[in-house]
Amino acid sequence: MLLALGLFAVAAFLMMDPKQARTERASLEFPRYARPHELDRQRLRSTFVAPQPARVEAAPALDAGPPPDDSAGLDPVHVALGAGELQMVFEASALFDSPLGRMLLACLSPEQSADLEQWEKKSGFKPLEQLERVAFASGGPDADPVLVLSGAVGDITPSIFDIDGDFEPYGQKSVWITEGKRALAVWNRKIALLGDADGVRAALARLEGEQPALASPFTDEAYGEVYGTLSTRLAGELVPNELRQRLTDAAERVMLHVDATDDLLLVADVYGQEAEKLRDLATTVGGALSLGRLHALREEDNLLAGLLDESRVIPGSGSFQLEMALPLSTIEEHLGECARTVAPMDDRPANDLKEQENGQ
Amino acid sequence: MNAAVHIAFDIVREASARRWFLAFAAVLTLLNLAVIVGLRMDVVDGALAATRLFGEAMGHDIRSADHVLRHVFEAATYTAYYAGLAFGILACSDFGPELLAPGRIEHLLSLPIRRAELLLGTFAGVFSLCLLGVSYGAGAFFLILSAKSGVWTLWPLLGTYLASVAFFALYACMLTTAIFVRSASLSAAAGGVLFVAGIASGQRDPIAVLIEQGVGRDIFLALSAPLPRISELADAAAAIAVGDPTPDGLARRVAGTLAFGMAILAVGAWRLENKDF
Repeated sequence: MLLALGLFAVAAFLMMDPKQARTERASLEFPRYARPHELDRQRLRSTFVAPQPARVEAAPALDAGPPPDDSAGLDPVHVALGAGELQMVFEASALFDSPLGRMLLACLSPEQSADLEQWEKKSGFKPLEQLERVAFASGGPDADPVLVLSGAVGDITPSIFDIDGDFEPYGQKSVWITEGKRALAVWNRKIALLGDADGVRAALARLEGEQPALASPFTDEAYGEVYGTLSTRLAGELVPNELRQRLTDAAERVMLHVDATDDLLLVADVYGQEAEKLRDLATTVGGALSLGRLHALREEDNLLAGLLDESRVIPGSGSFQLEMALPLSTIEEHLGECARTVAPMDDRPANDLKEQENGQ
Repeated sequence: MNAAVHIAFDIVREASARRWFLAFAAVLTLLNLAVIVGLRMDVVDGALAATRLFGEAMGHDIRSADHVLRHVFEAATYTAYYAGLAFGILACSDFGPELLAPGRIEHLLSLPIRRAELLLGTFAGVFSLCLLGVSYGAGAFFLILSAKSGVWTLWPLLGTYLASVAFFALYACMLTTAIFVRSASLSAAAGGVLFVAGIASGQRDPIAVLIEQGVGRDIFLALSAPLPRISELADAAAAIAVGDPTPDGLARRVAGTLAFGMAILAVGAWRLENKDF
């Protein structure tokens, strides 16, 4: 009996440790549709109504889709982007405020921080505070891209971008300047356009009502911290050679959405006409992701392995969906000690959270 | 000690002739055969492109086979763990009472066998049945899945063996109960009560908070302290099965469960030594 009592005491002692809860990763909410705050955000931004043109000049012809319904307001950034081979939108302010953005900013080297500060002083422009969105568009393989900056950009001057000279008025609400093949324009003190002169001119023409606004691919797709659409030719440049030909044969367009509110979650919708080819492509992409993951694990590339761990392909009708996730913990581990100094979202001052809620 | 081994073998031999165990083996075999015949997995470059069970598509997304199997392994481990323990409680409840059956116990005691060896042999025999059941049922299932998917791993099987650790404590309690009262139902009931208490003991602290602070709570904490943490072992089994890091303190939980089982067995041995037959 004494032995039994002793063993009971040993058992109780060994069980004394507090329960170690099994940690399981929470299910990931991939950006597959606009959430209520994103619908509200888009509604507030849909303020553009094409003005009556003050002057009508021929603008470079573009492969325009059918004009949108004039009764509904449009997002001026989407109008500026037009329709082409590539349109990508980065919600800059949301990204800067996201855990990922704050980690990346915290991990800027002292030299990089000093350079940024010096540039801000010289230009009088503070991108981290004044930019709301950064977008870029490209009309085709031979066209240089146009950068679109939205936010408090009314005070941008040509000298910031090393362009000599002053702005000239354009239309009712714009100013612009060209230098060689480059141009810089500001529309309504809200949107700055920089890049290929023809592209900037075409965007201005749409914003000033000289050209009809093109049907935006983002009518129901403006959600996530990054979203965009690109042609399969461009998408092909992002994938390994073995996949490139299959992608360009089977698919026509790729739509991307990235959610960075916590873990980095990416959804790519790949659209095509030929169901059989698309199905084969989906299977191949799934296999490539799996092989890539195994390779990354073998090479101890934790960042890539983490990215591919939650990746999957979901075949659909006329399209398939590719999901990829990069856990914040993996990014933090990759960035190192600097990323760990960033306070969790809930620990930020109440004002920050309030501002974010108001912003939404 | 040889006597204990002989008794253990007798128990295994006896079990092989019982309908309960034959039915259990048949069910496990049929389940595994169904998986062999009915499950089709198309694996392309390590990605599970399609899964069909008896022709019916199961899910349609394409992702890394080992990632998909993690969920299958986890579910299978929990099922094997809890269902195996429940079956073990029901099926093994009458080994103890039969050992002590009038006529048989007197015969055994007339042989040159110490009473402690009798107890140990019976316990070892039943525990061997548990290990055999886990090895056959879970081993074959995970082997088939590995062969079909190309994902070869031993972790799910190793995880399932934690059920044997839990059964160690449960059967010790059942056997000791049978020594006190020769009843298969009471033996099964004792196992069932400890099974439930062991699951609840995983939530010991939240439950204690519900009890008013004072003597009542202290008694609850003292009585529940040595109980085997059945649910925590199940979580650990699932974590091992999917290749997650082994939960901290698992070794202490395993050792504690075994110590609890041995303590109960020691009580049983004490009672058996002092019992008149």
